[in-house]
Amino acid sequence: MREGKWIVVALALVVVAIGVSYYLFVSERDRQLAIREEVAQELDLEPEVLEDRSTGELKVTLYVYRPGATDSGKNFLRKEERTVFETGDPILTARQIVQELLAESKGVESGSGAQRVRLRTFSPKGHLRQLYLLDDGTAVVDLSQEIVQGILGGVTWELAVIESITRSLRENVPQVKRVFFLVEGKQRRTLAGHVSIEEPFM
Amino acid sequence: MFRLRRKILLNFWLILLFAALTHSLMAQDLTLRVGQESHRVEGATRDGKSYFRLRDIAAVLELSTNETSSRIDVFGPRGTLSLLDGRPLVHLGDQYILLTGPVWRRSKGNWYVPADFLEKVLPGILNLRLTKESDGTYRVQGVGRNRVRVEFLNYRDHLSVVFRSSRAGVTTVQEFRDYVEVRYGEYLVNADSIADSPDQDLIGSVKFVPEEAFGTFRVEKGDRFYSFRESRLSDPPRLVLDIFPRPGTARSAAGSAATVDLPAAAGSGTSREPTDEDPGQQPRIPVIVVDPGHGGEDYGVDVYQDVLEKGLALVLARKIEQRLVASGEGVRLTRFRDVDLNAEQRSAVGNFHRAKVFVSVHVGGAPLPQTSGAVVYIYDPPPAEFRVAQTKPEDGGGEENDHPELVRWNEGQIGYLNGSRRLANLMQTELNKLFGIQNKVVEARLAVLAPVMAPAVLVEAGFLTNPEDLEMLGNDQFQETLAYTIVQVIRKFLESR
Repeated sequence: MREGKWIVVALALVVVAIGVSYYLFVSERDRQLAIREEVAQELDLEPEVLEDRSTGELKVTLYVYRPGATDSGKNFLRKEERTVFETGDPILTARQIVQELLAESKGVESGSGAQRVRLRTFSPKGHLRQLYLLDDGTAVVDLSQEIVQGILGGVTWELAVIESITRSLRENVPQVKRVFFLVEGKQRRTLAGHVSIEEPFM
Repeated sequence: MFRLRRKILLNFWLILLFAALTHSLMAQDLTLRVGQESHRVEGATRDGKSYFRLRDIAAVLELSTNETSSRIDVFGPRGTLSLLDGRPLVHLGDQYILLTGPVWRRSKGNWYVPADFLEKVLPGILNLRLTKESDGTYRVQGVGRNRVRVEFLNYRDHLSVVFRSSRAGVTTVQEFRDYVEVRYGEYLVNADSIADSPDQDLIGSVKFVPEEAFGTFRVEKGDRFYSFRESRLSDPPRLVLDIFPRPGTARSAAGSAATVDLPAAAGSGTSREPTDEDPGQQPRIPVIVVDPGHGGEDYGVDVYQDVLEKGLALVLARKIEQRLVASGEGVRLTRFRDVDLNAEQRSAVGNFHRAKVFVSVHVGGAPLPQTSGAVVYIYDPPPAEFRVAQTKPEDGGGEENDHPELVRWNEGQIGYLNGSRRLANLMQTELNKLFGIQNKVVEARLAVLAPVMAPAVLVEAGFLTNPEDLEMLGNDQFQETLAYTIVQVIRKFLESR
């Protein structure tokens, strides 16, 4: 009888242990989701938020992929003027520039029938996860995986993504001396299979 | 009494916590199921990769081993494989197979192999098949038999070697300097007796090597062998090798000479006649390494679903290989099949074979459809301030190095940049003529080229995102011309060194 009682107690403890573990798991998952949402909201750079901090307008020059270019030299990109919020904060300026580049990429229809596709430098599903500016002038640009998946192949495509972000940041934000890329918060050997991103770009 | 219960409860919680921690830290073991029995193979984790203990695998599959301090040989019923501590290469028969991670000798008698060893290497020495049932569980089963009969059909302009099978299984065809190899997988081959040689001097004889793969046939090249084409037919399953003689030297079925009309090269206006060099001459060592880009899960340019870069790159690389072999060069491909290799594995093949030239073959993709033509890339090292150490470049400079004979893996290419640039310029010029467009050589930090200790280029032979390029690249004759152009440039480069 006593043994039976202990078995019931042990089983009850196991059930409680599973319950506690599940509760801890769920609460940690919810916490992570909340943090992610908070970061995403911060990065949305809602115009109202920026407007509040804005002291005026700032003209910036975006560098975007030039149609037909293969040479990664100065002719690889073409200039486009844009206006962003002047905030006096180099990080906010840099973020707005990258957001503008992502939005810039409307793309061009190619192919026909079922094979019709829209080609564009940055996938519309992709987003900037985070952008940091280190003391030594390194801008750390953390891109979402969708941007990498949107690179449908080829060195030129990868270079277009890297060069347009690097040059646009370097030309418009004096504090940025070099640009280092992360994907989903992690360092990678290459951006999308070809070009090494283990070292910063200047 | 109350104290005792509290102690028991506390111990229970501690045991539960310990078990949970141990479970989360332990690497996943592997289960090999043989009939109703399950055998555990100890797992371990190293550098984030799963490894399994070779001793356990050998015990289940009844394989014997012979170990020295840095090498272990594994003996199976159909062959022997050799593993070296710290190396990702497995020596099996006369070939090397690359694993996703290095073999690990944890201690004496405790060798660990990466997970892909089971599917990639082990079947080569077994009479058994390993079928994956779920993650971490494989079923060990006997292998069925495949009866293969070899027939020869003589045509006016070529010879067909027909491999007629009783079961449809996996076959791979690979060309070597002296023979064409047909490897069977999936089922063990029982070869019917083979007539030693047909009445032709296109091929020497067909030999059956039962210990290679699940059975391998070697079709030895004859004096007039020039090229071959493979095709697969069903009902009954057949693999056909059409073997063609050198242009202008074809023989009729009766044995008299006749002219063969091979397709002419398109676009270039140059002759595609092969070199007059003896194709049977000994290949020089080191060899030319051709790397077909992408493969497996990595499709490469994937804009239009019916044309993938990985397939096109392999087709082009095989054509380049055939032409180089025909001109007497030793050639190695980094992959022969639709498998994915990472950049390190590709470069490793180049350095392992002491490549005298390394050419990575790709086709391009761009964010806009206007971009077209071929682009040749060379390695662009990051600025010196970002590099951990510097090696002495060809044109002088460099810094102190405690071990000057050693070069850091990712800096292997730095000493060969001048050669790479010269090769790239030659190739870009010729490919521009072919595409009728003026593209320039591009310098980029390409991971695959960084470690290669040889003149190395990456060629994107046209853009799949450009409608005109896409159409041209789908044309077999244009592919032949591309291969011809690339081969001519490689030969010109080597001759001018």
